[in-house]
Amino acid sequence: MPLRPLDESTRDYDRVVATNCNNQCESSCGMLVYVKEGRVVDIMGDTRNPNAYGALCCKGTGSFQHIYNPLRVKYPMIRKTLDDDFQRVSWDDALDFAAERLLKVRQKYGPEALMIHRTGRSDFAWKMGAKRFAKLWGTPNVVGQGPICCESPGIAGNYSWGARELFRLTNPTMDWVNSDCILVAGSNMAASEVTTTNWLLNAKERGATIIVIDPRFNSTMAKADIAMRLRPNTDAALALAMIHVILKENLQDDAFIKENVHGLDEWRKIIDDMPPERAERITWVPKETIIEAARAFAKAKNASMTGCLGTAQTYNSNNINRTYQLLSAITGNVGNQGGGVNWLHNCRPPDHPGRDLDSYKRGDLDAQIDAAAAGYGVEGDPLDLPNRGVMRPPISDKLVPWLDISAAAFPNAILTQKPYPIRAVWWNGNMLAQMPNTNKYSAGMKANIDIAIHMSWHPNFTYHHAHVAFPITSWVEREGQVHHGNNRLNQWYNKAIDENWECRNDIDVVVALADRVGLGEYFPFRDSRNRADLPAWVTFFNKQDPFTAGVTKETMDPETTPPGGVMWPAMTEEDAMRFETDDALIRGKWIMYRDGENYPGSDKRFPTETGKIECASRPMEVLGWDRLPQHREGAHTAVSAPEEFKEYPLVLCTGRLVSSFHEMGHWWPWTDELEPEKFAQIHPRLARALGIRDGDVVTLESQRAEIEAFAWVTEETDPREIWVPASTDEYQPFVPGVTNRNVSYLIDDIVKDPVYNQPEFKAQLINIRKKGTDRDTAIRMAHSIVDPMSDYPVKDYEFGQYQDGVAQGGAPTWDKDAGKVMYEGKAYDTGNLIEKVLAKRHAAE
Amino acid sequence: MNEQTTKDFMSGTIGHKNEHSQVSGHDAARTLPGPGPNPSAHYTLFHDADRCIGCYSCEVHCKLENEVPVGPRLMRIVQIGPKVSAGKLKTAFVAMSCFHCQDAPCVAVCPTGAMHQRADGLVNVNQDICIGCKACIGGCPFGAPQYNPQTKTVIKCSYCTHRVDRGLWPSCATKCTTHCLYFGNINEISTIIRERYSRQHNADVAYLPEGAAVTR
Repeated sequence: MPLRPLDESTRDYDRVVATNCNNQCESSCGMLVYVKEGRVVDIMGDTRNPNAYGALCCKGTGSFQHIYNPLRVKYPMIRKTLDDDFQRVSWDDALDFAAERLLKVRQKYGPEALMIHRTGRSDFAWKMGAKRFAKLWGTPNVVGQGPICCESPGIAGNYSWGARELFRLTNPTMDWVNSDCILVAGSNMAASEVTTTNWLLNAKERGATIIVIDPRFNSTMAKADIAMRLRPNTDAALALAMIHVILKENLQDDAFIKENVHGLDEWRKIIDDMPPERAERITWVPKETIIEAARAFAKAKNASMTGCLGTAQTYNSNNINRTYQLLSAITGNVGNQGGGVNWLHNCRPPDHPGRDLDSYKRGDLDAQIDAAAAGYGVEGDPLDLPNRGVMRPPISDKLVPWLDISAAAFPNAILTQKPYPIRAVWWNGNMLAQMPNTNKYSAGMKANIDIAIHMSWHPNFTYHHAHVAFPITSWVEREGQVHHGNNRLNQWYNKAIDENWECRNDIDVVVALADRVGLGEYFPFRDSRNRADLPAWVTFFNKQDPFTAGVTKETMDPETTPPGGVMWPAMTEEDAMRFETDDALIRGKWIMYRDGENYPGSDKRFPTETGKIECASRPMEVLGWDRLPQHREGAHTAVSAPEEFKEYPLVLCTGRLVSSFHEMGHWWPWTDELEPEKFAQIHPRLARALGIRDGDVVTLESQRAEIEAFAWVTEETDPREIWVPASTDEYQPFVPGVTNRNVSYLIDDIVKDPVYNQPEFKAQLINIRKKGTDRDTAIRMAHSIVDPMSDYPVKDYEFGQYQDGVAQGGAPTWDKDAGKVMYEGKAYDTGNLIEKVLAKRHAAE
Repeated sequence: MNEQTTKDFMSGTIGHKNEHSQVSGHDAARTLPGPGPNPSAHYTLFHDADRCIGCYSCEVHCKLENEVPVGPRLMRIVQIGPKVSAGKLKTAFVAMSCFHCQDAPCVAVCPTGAMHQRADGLVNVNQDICIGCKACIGGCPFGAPQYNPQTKTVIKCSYCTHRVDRGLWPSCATKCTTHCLYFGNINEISTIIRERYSRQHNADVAYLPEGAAVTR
């Protein structure tokens, strides 16, 4: 009898809880948590889960160390200023402290002075509860993960294929085995969506040709049949050249185009202008490879494509994604098995914090909050403010006016206090360390924020810029919805143990603060402890939109329903319980845009203006962006910023390592042990020229800041490019030797993708040198390698505006010598960088 | 609550006492009765390099299952490359745990008999009599035995003997993200390889639509 790969634990346990991995990547693997006397003793993958079949990645298993991690924030903490030490207080005292300060800010600066930022890893209930709170409070500055993470592909698809809100994934990963060719663009899924890679390998094993497009030869590209290592932000040129080849060789699906594609003839002039020969020089990819890939994709019976953050976090993000989506359309891979456009991450449905909110009168809400303020003895009256009665617009300058506002606008807005003051910040996770131009944001927090509330797991960089820290439960200490999973998934995670220490759920903080500022009655669903009733809230929020009306705990719970969750749209509970087709492995809507079927809730198959997939987009033109997708050079390249290039000759690209997902993984010894030496990737040729050896400490410098890193000499990257993993944090333990400062310090917060304000995390200009060696020599040596290969034949119409309405020219700058942020002749200190905290600690000793 | 100190945590101590107990409760029926050492078994851990993506997850599965502190790594994935080979860049991932050799050098050099081979071929360390001399670490050509700084003895990959004895795969293979690790009798493994080859040559039949059948 053969042995079995079963999810049985051999530890002593008295209870098993079927649940889902939560808030790390979005592969949403089924998980079994084994409990003995109220304590988690083991974690296995749930073999019944049709997505992962019992697999867990290093973060899934490693999250065992999240649960009882003694480094976690365990108790509510407050302090008057960022220079004070945190004091442990009771929950009530911390809530009163936060409420009073919030009310002070409101009465003095107006409701819009509160900015609430929910990370992409946020719990669904906190995300929606905070949005609800913001609406009642009267601030439009409620930030989601969208424009900082990767919602741009979804936005692009709204204007090409058409969708209600975000277009994201048409065919689930489990359908990939039906593909004969899969194109992967800008996703190192082997590190960032680990178990999802399984389906790519299954398709490959079946015989599918795998094409991988990425700025480095990563673990995913190692599995490719056709590997294309391209210059960041040039995907549109590459995909246009592929389309060029397809049309030239007559490999397109004419019947599908005639019926379903609008504006291809008009687009021809741009396609004709991007032959593979020119694309080769723009993209770094040999023209022969482009032609080979174009033929493989077009000739495959069923071809699908997938991608992730790589096509999002660049200047030309909107055009890049529209071009890929149109490549799929002109080859007719729409609504078929093994076809479609299947971008991972942030596959979230439309959401709404409550339709009842429309019926409340602003004046009534204000009166209730004023009364609460009076109760706290807070003086001042926002009625005296000039803006009273008219909500100021959100601080956001992206062209697409709907969905999330621009997260990356806040570093500048908070330091400059323009266009109007932001005085209060309420957020979770480790957002501050991830935001572009971190020095500027840190200085803004120190100078201008009267109250920063942090919902804490770990004492990270963001925690060290907060006045109040609330300890938050981990995913086994509560229940709730795992939302925006890959595959349009909504899943349920179950509570396995009681709350550790004094931790509470995120939404309990929202409810308790609402009580204190006079808004408690609008948060009605409570349990016997007067805390938020999570299943009731999840159901309430899902019912606010028809696409998720059938999504409830009852239809998602892996304890009581077929595991794997529900794919939206699921309009009714019957929809949510039904497997749509014979080959569907998960309930809900299996494949979108099928032939002969209208888009859910629409009378068209493609809910665009023309009812067809649009190569030429009038709505895009109206917004002030390209009617026809084309290449646009990013703001920081050799040809668009020749002056900057002189001092910063190398391309900086960022990404993820497998052992962490933002702060998760970095605080656990088992995962931190895996690849501590992997930091700044540098090609051996460049490393030799600069005298850098593997493991040396190097200095990376951009116009905005300098950071230290270990050199990782590898041929994964191009000689012209340095790649650095994001989401490190100087406060994280376990990585000694360098400051461990996040790469976001180097990133520009001013010039972003104009359509959806995605910062250019994937394409900046920097220089690199071995720490302590001569800067000018290093720059000269780098130029000697880079210059002969950096002549990009970009035409005039392919440059961008590179201007920003908020602050170009007058924006704050970083004075490297003084170590301060300069703005209007004044120097601003950064906040609590670790050097300052350590110096203070040493002084105290 | 039973609090763990930061120092213990940083060293990777698991934070509670585990007893490998008899199977009870959930799904006990799905677990086969423990056969104990099976003299006719020739177990092997097969690593399918075509499917391995170098995600290191097996290393952490092993850490949790066997309560291994920071430092020793019973399973190790080694990345080779990328290097140019035949005009193209290539990367390989190699799984290095323990091969449980039939004629095991580590057993031969062990002065106390702590390192021993069971009837079914599994090579294990008897923690009670290991003196931490490290001879086996030098004796093994593959670097498999590891030193545990907490117990000051040698530990090594046991193929999760306690799981094998319950009819279960080792933890690394059970939770492998891409199902590139297989475990079993060597002739079962060759059957898996044969079946996979056959599937690849009958792809239209074998891969639709039963997802789970793809890898197992």
